[in-house]
Amino acid sequence: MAESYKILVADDNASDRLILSNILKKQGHEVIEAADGRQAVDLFEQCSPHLVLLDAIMPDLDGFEAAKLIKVLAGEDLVPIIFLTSLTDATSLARCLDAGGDDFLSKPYQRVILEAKIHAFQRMRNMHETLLKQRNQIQQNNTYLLEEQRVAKTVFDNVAHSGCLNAPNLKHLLSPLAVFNGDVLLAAYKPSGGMHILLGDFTGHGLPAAIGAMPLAEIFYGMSAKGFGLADILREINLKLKAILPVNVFCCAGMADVNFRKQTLTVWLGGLPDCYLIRTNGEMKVFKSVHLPIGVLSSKTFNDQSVEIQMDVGDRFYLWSDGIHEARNERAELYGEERLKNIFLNNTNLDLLFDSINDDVTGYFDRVERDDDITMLEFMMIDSDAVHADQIELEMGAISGPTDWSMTYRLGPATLRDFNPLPLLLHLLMEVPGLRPHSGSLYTILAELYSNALEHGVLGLESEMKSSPSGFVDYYKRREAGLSDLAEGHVKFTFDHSPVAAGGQLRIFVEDSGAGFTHENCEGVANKSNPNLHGRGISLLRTLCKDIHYWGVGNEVEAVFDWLRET
Amino acid sequence: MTEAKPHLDEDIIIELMDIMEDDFGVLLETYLDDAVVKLKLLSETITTGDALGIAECAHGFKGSSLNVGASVLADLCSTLEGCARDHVLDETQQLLQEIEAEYAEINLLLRNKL
Repeated sequence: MAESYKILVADDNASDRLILSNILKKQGHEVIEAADGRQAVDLFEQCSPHLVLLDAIMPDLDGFEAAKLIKVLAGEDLVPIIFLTSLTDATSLARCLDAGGDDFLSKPYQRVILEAKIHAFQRMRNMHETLLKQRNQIQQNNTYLLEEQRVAKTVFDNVAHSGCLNAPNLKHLLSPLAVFNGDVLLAAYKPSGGMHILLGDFTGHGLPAAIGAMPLAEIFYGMSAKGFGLADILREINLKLKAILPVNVFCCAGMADVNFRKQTLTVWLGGLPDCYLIRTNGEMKVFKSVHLPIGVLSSKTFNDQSVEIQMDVGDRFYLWSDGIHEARNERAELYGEERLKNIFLNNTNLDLLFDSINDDVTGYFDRVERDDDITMLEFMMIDSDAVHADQIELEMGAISGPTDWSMTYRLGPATLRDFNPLPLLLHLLMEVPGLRPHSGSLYTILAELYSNALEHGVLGLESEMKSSPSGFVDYYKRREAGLSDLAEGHVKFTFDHSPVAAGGQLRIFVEDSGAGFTHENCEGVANKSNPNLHGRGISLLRTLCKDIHYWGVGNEVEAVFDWLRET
Repeated sequence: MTEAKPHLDEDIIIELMDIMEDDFGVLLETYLDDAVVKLKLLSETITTGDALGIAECAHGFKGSSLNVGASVLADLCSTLEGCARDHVLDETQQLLQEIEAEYAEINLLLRNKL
């Protein structure tokens, strides 16, 4: 077990040196001898011994001075120095330690004690070496980690890109705490012309948080682009996160669905701090998170219920992670909700509100290490005309695509029960180059036609039922009941698209298995005059389509949609 | 006369024989030769009244004497070193004579071990 060391012995007494050398050699060490301090320093530099035995009083350069020089030469290596001394007074011994000595050995030399001391230093050296090795390992690991994070960040940024966060009606703040942070901020235009917004705050930071953010972003953008609604997207994200994240990792989030035409903001909040609505007249409203964070509950218990807020142009809604509330100043005091609320109450110009919050929070912890990320989003309601169509044109790169085609898609009873075919169909139509800016209209047309076919056709529900509030409730109860035990029936979509010079024509046929209705007079007549057309949204369809025809016994409808390519 | 400290600590000698083996003679020769040099240096420094020179030389001689078991000689060196450090030089000549006498004794005892 005794390792062999290279030991430097410096003593001006030849006989003492001889004794020490012999003791050490017998113990298996290699000995280098120096007769004075100067020689000791030179030999140390040449031979890099593991241990130095140094006489305190020597001619030329004494042991104290030699020890200081040797310690400097040793750098971060641990080279213990043992003073050889017949000095006994406390002051002299203290001087030895001050000069960098680690221990003493008094004359006459005793082998057992010397051996024990060497072993003790051997342990110390080993420990020191382990320490240095581990420190270097940590440094190296850290370098690797940062490099890996840089690469992963690129992938992450490509997946969780910021979508339409730069839209003129959005302001946002997303300050990265590290290369990765636990916060996600996403925004996307919906095919229908509206907007989806999501702010998420994962528990933890770094890789675990980023891992969850990727599928979240993927689902958010993917499903938004395909026309899925808020509830469907939230459910899908919850299902995914619940499945992939460890139990203690989840995502506090707020998601909003904007309808510019109706000027509404539909909000779902789970685990986020209170969010604020502030109107142009200064009225302020607080919205609490009524749900658990995403990724906690199973699909069965997950609640996708959201709140619809009627807004006016210029009204603003604020979403944030708890980073703001938990920001600390140099006295470790929390920023807190009161302070945030006061900024709102004292604000006189809504256009400057976002920046005042940002300035105040940033100023608050200016000189302090941040514990959490500060993520904040301001949404401002704007007029639907102000949402420019080319903003909706999401990454429309390819000019080529299907232009002359037709297809039939027939849904049987089992499918009708619980499958919503609209996102799929819309997605398919969006492949037609140039059609995407019309996706809002197309979605409305498809939704009307499909609900007519399913509810009035397949299920045979009477639209008049919906004219009274109690009938409305009853209508949906019967709709649900009818669907759950649907055994026969179908809805068949047929699309026929043909290109024209400046755009295209899409003819949509929807046939259902229902009994049809009397439709001879319906064309050109306001729907109120024909009870059969009530609730079928015909007038809405007429504003969007060039033509609406009913065929057969009224169980087949044709909608002709002419569209022009935007220049 | 009470039994004073022995001139030579036999335990140390036995240990040294064990440590040095064949080199035991070399060690003794080295010590004795070095002692002659040191005695000469002591004599010179005492003559010139170089207190620091006396102290350092006496200190060195004390150390090497301790290591070969010459404890009485080491004690005398220690006393001389103390005087020199305190700059009390009037008894140094006297001490040097005692040291020389003790050395003669040790010289004899050690040579007997060879």
